[in-house]
Amino acid sequence: MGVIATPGGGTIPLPPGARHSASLRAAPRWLLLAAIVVTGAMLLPLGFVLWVAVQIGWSEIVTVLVRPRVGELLLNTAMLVSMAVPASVLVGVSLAWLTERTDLPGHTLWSALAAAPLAVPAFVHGYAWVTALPSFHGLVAAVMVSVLAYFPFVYLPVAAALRRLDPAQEDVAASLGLRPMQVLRRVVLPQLRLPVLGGALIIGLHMLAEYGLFALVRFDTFTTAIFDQFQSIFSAPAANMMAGVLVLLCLLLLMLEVSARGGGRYARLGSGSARQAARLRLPPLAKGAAVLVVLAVAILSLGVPLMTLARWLMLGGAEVWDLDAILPVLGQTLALAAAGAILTTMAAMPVAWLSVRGRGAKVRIIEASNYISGALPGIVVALALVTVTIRVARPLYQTAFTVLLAYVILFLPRALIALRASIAQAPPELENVAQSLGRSPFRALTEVTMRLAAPGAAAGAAMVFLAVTTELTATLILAPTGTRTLATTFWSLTTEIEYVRAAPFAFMMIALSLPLTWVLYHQSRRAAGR
Amino acid sequence: MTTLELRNISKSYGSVRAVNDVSLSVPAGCHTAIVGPSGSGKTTLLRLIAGFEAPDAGSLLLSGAPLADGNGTFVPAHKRQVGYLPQDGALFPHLSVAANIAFGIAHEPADVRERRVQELAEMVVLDRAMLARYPHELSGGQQQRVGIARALAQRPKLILLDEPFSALDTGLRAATRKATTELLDAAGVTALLVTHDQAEALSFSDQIAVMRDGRIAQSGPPVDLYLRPRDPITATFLGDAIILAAQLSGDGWSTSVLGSLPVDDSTRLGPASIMLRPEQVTMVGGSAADCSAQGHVLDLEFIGHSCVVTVDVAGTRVQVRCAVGGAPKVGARVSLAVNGPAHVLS
Repeated sequence: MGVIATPGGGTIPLPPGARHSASLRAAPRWLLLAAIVVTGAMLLPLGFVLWVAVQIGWSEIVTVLVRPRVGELLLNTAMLVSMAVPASVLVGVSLAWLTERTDLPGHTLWSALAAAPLAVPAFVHGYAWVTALPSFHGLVAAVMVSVLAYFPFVYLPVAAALRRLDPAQEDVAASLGLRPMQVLRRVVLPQLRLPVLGGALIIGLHMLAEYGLFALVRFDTFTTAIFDQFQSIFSAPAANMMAGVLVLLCLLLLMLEVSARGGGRYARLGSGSARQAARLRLPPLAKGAAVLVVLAVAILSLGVPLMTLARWLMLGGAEVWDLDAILPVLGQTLALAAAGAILTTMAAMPVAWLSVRGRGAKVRIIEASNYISGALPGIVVALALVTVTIRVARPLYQTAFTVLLAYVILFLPRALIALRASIAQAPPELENVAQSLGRSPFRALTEVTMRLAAPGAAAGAAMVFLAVTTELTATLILAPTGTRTLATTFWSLTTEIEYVRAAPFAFMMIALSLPLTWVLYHQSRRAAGR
Repeated sequence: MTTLELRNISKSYGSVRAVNDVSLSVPAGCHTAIVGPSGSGKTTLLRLIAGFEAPDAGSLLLSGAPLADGNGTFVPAHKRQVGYLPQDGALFPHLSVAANIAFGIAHEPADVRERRVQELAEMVVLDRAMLARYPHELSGGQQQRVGIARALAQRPKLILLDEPFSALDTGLRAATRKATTELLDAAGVTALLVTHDQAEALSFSDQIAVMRDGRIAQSGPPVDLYLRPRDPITATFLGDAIILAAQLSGDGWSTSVLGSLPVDDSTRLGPASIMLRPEQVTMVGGSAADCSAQGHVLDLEFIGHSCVVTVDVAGTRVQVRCAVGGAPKVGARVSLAVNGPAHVLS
C-alpha cells in the first residue's frame, strides 16, 4: 500500500532548477550521506527480489512459477485490475464532471461525499459488504468493492483539474461552433489525461498490494496467495518468488502509466484564472438521472459500510466497548503511528532537500529509487525484511525497529511529496542570505528552510501517521509478538467471525481517518485556487 | 586603502568557464558596478565574493586578509561578514520585519539588538509601525529597504547587491536606486552591484567593470567608460553609439563620412573605427555652412523625450537624436555638426 495519493493529480512537477541552485558538490556532505543511507534502505525490497532470483536460479524459478496455479493467479489479478481500474475511472470522472461542471443540486455536498470513502480502509469496505451479504464473493464482488473503495483516487485529481482548466479554452471552442458535449469530448476530456492516469496508477498499485479486502471477498490474487503461502510454510522460496512476480507487475503498471502519458505537452494550467467555468444546465430529466447516479454511488460507497458498521455496533451495545481491551490497542497503534510518522518524515528530509536543490543524474537516481520502492506492496517489503533480519540481523526479527523500518519504506513517498512541495517554496536565496548573515550551512538549513518547510513536514507526517494506523499486511507479518494495532485486532476478530467485537476497531479507524480525508479534500480544492 | 582585491580569479562549471582570470580591486567606500549581459559571469563572480562558491584558481582578499586562494584557503560565507542583498530582497517570510533586520546580530544582547534595529529602521526610513509587520505586508520598495537594513546590521565592510532593483517597477526603481546610493554612502560601506542595466550601473557607481564571456572587458570610472570604451561591443553596451570607419592622420584629426573631425588620439595613423555618442551630433535642416556633413532623412522614430532620426550620409546610415518639435520629415535634406572629439576604438 505504499502508494502516493496526491489530490492534485498524482505527480508534483519539479520546480525549474534555479540557475544557481546548490550543485550536488555544494550540498553538505552529511546530507548527501543521509540521503544515500535512506535510499539504500528503500532499495532493500528490490534488492531482496533480485537476490531471491539469483539465489534460486533460473531452472528452479521456471519449475515453481510455471504452474497452473500461478497462471490462475495471474489471470485473476489481470482481470481484477483491467476491470476495476476502468470502472473506477468511469465513476470518478463522471462524478467529477457532474459535481464540478453541471448545475447538479447540492453539488458541494456530493463532492464531499465523493471524497469521503477514502476514510474507510479497503478491508473495512470488504468487511461491510461480506457481513451484509454473506454470499457476495468472487470476481464481481472484488471488482465492485474495489471500485467503491478506490474511485476517490480518480475523483479528487480530476475534480481539481476541472476546476483549474481555463474556461477561456472552452469559450474559444464554443466560438468555433462546438456544441457543449463536443466541447467536453474534444477540449475538456483530453486535458484530464494526466490526472486520470495518475489516479488509475494509484488504484492499480493499491489493488496489487491489497490483502484484507480480497481475502474477505474470497478472491485469490498474488498478494493473498503469497500471504497464505507465507503463513503455511514460513519463508518459503515459493512465496519469495511470487513476490518477485508481483514486483514485476508493479513495475509494469508504472511503465504503462509513463508510456500512456506520452510526450505531448499540455499547456500549463493557469494558476489563477479569476473566472469559473459556467455550469452546464442539465435538462430536468437528465438532472433527475444525475441525482440518482450520485445518490447510488454515495449509498454504495458510504451508506453500506456505515450502515453495516452501525448495525454491528448497535448489536454489540455498550459491551463491545471493553476499554481494558481497546485502550492498550489504541495506545500501541498511536505509539507506532507516531514513531513511524516521525521517523519517515525525518528520513524523507535529506532526500526531499536534494531532490529540490540538487542537480545531476545522481540526484534523479536517488529520487526515482525512492518512488519505485514506494510503489511496492507491503507484502513484498515484509517478506524482504523477514528474510534480511533472519539471515543477517536475527535479533532484529519481529522487533519494533523492523516494523518501523517497513513503515518508512512503505510510506516515505507520501512524506517526500509533501516535503518536496514545501521545500520548493522556500527560495534557495534565503539560505544564501542566512549564510551571509553568519549562519553555518547546517543552521541556515534548519533555521530557514526547515522552518519554512514545517507545514509540509507536518502534513506529510499526518499522512504517514494515518497510513500506519490502517496498515494491515506488513504489520501482521512483522509486528513483535503481543503487539496489536487497530488494524490487526480488527483483522483477527473478523477472521474469527467476531463481527460485533470487530466493529469498534473499524469505527476507530474511520474516526481517525476522517480529519485527514477532509484535509485532502480541502487541499485539492484549494490547490485549484478556490 | 583597498577593501576588496580579486587576483586572477577563475571558476568553471564542467567545461564552461563562467569566470575567467578576473582581477579587480575595489577601494574602501567605493561603489563598483559589474555590468554585463546575462551569461557573462557577473553573478558567478558575485557568488564567489560572497563565499557561496569557491574559485578554482586565483585569490580573493578582503582588507588584506585572504578569503580564498587556489591552495585550499577558503573562508565560507557565514564567516566572511559580507552583506548580501539578492534580487527580490529575499526576506525571511516567517519572521517579522524587526526579526529579519536582527537576524545577523542574534548573538547580541536583546537591548543592543533592539537599539540597532531602531537605528537601522530610521536609517532606511522605515516607519516604526512597520517593524512588527511581516514581509508580505510590505511594498516592494519597503522590502528592499528592509533587506538593506538586514545586511547592514552586522556592520559589514562590504555589501553585495545582485540586481536589487530589477524587480521594482520603473518609477520606483530610479527612486530606490538613488535612496540606496545615499544610504550606502551614509553608512560608509563599500558596495558591489551586479546588473545587466547599463543606466543603473552608470548612475550607481564610482567604478564600472564591464564583463563579457567570463572576463572583465574594461573597467574604470563611468564617464571614462562611456566616452572612451575600448571596443565597439562595450561602446554599444553602455549606450547608443555612432561607429564610423575613418582614416587617422596622426595629428589628432580624422576623415570620415562626417568630414574632418578631431579625435582623442594624436599618434595613430591609418584606418580605424571612431565612435561618437548621439548627443555629440546636432542636426539642422537644409545646408548649413558650419556643418561638416550633409545627408537626407531615411526614417524617424518617436521615443517620447526625443526623436531618433536615421540619416543617410553618403551611403552610411547615422542615427542622431533631435527634439520632438524640430523633427524633419522623411526625405528632407539635413546637415550634421559634431561637438567634441570622436573616440578612437582599438
